[in-house]
Parts: sequence; structure tokens; C-alpha cells
Amino acid sequence: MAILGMNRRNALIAKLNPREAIKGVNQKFETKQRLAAAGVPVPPTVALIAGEAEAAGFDYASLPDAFAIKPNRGRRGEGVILVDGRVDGGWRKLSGEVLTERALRAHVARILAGELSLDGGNSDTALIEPLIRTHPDFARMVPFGLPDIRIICLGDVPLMAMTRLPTQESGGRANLHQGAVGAAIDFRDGSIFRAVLGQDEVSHHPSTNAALIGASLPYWQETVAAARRCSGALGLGYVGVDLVIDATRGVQVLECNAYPGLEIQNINGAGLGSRIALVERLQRERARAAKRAGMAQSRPAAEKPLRDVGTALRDAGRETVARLSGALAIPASLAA
Amino acid sequence: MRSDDLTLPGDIALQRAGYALAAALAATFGAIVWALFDRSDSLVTSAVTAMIGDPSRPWNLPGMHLLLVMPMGASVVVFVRSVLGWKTFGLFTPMLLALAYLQSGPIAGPVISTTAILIGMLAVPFLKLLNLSRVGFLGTLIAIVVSALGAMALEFNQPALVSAFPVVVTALIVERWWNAYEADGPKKAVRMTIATLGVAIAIQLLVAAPPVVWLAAEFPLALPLASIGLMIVLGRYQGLRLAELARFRAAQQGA
Repeated sequence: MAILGMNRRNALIAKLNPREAIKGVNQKFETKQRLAAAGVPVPPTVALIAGEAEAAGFDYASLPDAFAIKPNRGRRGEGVILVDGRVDGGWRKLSGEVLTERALRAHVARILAGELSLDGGNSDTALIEPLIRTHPDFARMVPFGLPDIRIICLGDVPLMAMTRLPTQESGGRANLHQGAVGAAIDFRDGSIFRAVLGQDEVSHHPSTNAALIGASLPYWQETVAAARRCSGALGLGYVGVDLVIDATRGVQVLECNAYPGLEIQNINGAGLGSRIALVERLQRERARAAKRAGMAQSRPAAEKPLRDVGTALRDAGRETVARLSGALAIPASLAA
Repeated sequence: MRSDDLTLPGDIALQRAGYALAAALAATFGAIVWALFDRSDSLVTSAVTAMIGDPSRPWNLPGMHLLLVMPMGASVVVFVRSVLGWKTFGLFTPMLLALAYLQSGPIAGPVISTTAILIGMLAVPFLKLLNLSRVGFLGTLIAIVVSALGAMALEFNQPALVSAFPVVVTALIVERWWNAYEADGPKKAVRMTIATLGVAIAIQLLVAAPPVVWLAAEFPLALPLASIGLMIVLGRYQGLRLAELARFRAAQQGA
């Protein structure tokens, strides 16, 4: 089956994405920590406001001139305020409006009350990050807004990539359903080979008229390398990684999705199903080869540890037997 | 960055258009309800009765039948979702709606439930202004739907029409309709509404069909047991859904 449909995707996610890992990616700050620990570049954290007391005592004057404030468990950019600079009596939002400190405090209170969060929880934390400014090579393609890159990975194997380019019509949002352009990226060199607006193939961006086909994305090798590490860092076997290219910090992973959409297939003009089948076949073959190689080399030795376990168990005697009712009773000497 | 700051200019106009549409539909269905069930106006009523028979006639199915055909309704829902790929409000909402139809009658069921849904829809924008919690919101919606149904039953002096009506399901449909309308736009919301009501009517016609009634009476366990087998087969289906053939046409051409 060349095309991956909803039924097969859901079965794949049920098999490869554990419940805990799915819950984990809904929390932006925790996800960032896990990704950073695995060496994935993520936006730095300016501040994390948890609880009314922290919000009351927070020094808003200490914030940088440009920042983004978002609910930790927000969804699809809901409840995000983007601040571009300081003005008299507060800050200037990216949209041009003035944001007073009072309005900002009220927004933080709404975030903390969980009003802007996924799953309608009763509380959340507010996350403040520096404002992302798109790399000029990328920004020149779009009128305004933040273009992002989506890479679907099966384990650490990248399967398909696209970039979502905001348009005037999408109001700066990188959302295909709201009118952003989707452009398929060639993994070999990071160049765009197909671009789609709604149902139609396009060759130029409708708002900026920039040529899309053949245009190259900056830092492509780093982008793919960052995406490949996400699966292992988060424990998701099938993951959609959303990345942006910051003008000064370079590649940043913004979000990882445990239920990545299937529209990317229409953008690429190709199916995910055949690629998944190929990766799974290669993995099976490699596992079989490794098993064969392992058995050929270490058959005599392989029996030894088993015998050792038996001896160690006998040696440990009744102490172990008494603890055998536990989950896994291996003598301490052996476990170490 | 994707942000709520960048408000789409069409949002407010869209809301107004949706509200106008809902109001127009509610008025239409109100008129239909009036024409069908108002016994005091003998001229219209007799004309209607001559055309389609007594509109408030019940299905007259035994209570046991409703229970035994539920798995069959569920199988239809599973088929519609994972083989056809049509989106409906809620998982088994069409099945529950169909059960409501079975209790209220072939004509009264769809007409009355649609009217109740439309009245609830008109109330939602005002309830949203009150900033209620979700439970509070749904509870209030339930009370509004019950009031509307009760008023209809009293006005037409036909309490049987609305007894045991699944009010909670109606309130949930209303809530999901507005969520879908705001998140996915009017086109998708209308399409989901049509799919939900269409599937519900299809289930109603299927499970009240004479062969099914006969089967449920003669071999009570045949339908539930057959449904188990059918749903296990359908639940394991991993191929493309019918709706996806059209959705992924671009991907297939390239593949």
C-alpha cells in the first residue's frame, strides 16, 4: 500500500507510540528538556511561570525586548502572544498592537487557569521564550509569519519532509488548512521540488512571488540531524517533528507531534506507506543478519551466562528464593 | 509563529453567517413540526395525514428489539468510520440518535430531534458569552433542550413524542457542532451534520426493516453475535478509507 491512510496510521501509532510518550509531547517545557538532553537544538527558556504566587512576584521588566509567551500545554499555537519590542507603557506585539503589562498579567492568569490549554485542564504553566526570527534565506519566501519544516520520522529514519509557508491569506500562520503553501523538500540537498496551495500545484509563492521550485533551505543537514534524534529522545516510534530556522540560533525544534497528519503525502506527491514498508523490511533484514552473525560468533560463549545465572542463583541460596516473589529476583551480585 | 494574535478577518462575519443559518433552519423545522403535529389545525393535519400517514405514529417495536439491534447499529457506525471514512459527531452518536428515532417514530423522531438540536444551537452563542465551565455549559444546554422538547410536547399534547429522548446526546451534538464550526469552518461542520443525521436515519431504517425485526424475534442472539464478528473484521481493516481515495489523489498520482 503506497499511501498511508488513517486506519494504518492509527495502528502504527498504537504499536509504536506509548501512551506516556504521547502525553509527554503535550508539555512543551518537559519536551524541550528531554530533547536538549539528547543534543537536539531547542529554543532557550526565558522564564517559566508556575502558580499564582510566582506570577504575582514575577518581574516583567526583566523580560527581553522580543519574546513569545505560550501555555505549556497549549495546542496549535493557541494562546500564544508574540512581542516584538518595547513601547511606552508596555510592549509592541508582532501584529503592531500595544500590550500593556496589565494585559500581559491577565494573559498569564488565563494561561495559569488552564483556559488556553489542551484537554481543558484546570491549571498550566506559562512558558516564555525569545522571539524566533526566521533566517533571511527562508524569510524572503514569505510575506510575514514564521515558516516551519515538518519531518516525519520512523524511529531515527526520516521518511518525508515539507515546509509550510505562510501567505497573506493564511494570516501569517503556517497552517495548510488556513491557506499556507506546502512545499515538498528533497532530502538529498534540502531543495523544494513541489509546492501545493490548497489543491493546486504552484511554482511561485502567491503572496511574494518568490520562486519556490529549486529554492534551497538553509542548514538542511542540521535540520535532518535534529529531527532524527527526536524519536529516541521522546520515546516515540513514529513522530512528526516541527522545526524552524532562527536567524541567529539556526535550527530549532519547536514541537513534536505523536499524531502527525497525512497531508504531507499530497504535498510530496508520494505515499508514506511504501516508505514505511521499506524501512520495516530493512530493519527486519538487519535484525536477522545481526542475529545470524551473533549466533555464528558466540554460540559456545552464549551458553555460559545462562549457566552462570543458575550457579549464581544456587549460590545465593535461600536469600534469593525468599525474594523471588517480587517482580524480578536476580541476585544482587549478578545484577551488578 | 502561529498565533492567536493574527486574527482572521472573516471570523466575526463567519459567526454571524452561521447564526443566521441556524436561525433560518430552526424556523423552517419549527414550521414543519407545527404542520405535522398541531392537531388543532385540521386542514393542514388532514392533508399531511393523507400524504404520509399519521406523522406521530410510533414504530411499535418491542423493547427487547431496541436492545438487540444496538450492536447492528454499532457495526454500521464502525463501517462508516473506518471503511467509508465519513466524519460524524462523536463516536456512536448516530447509533444513539437512531435509537431515539426508534422510540419517537419514523417521522417524528428525525423531525423532533433536529428541531431540538437547532434550538440548542441558537442558545450556544449566548451561553458562550457567560463564560461557563464545560460541565456548567453542557448542563445548561441540557436544560434548554429539555425545555424546548417539553414545550413542544405540551403544545401538541403528545407526551409520547419526547419521552425517553436522549437529551444528553442532543446537547453533546450541539456542543460538537459549534466546536467543529469554529475549528474547521462551516463547510466541514455542515458535512459532518449531514453525515451524522444520514447515518442515523440509515440505521433507523435498517434495524426497523421487517427481516431484521423477524430475525430479532426468532433468533434473539443472532444479531449481536454476528455483529461481534463483523466489527472484529471491520476493526482490523487497515486499508484506505473510501473518502481517502479522493483526499490523497495528489499523492497517488505521484506515487
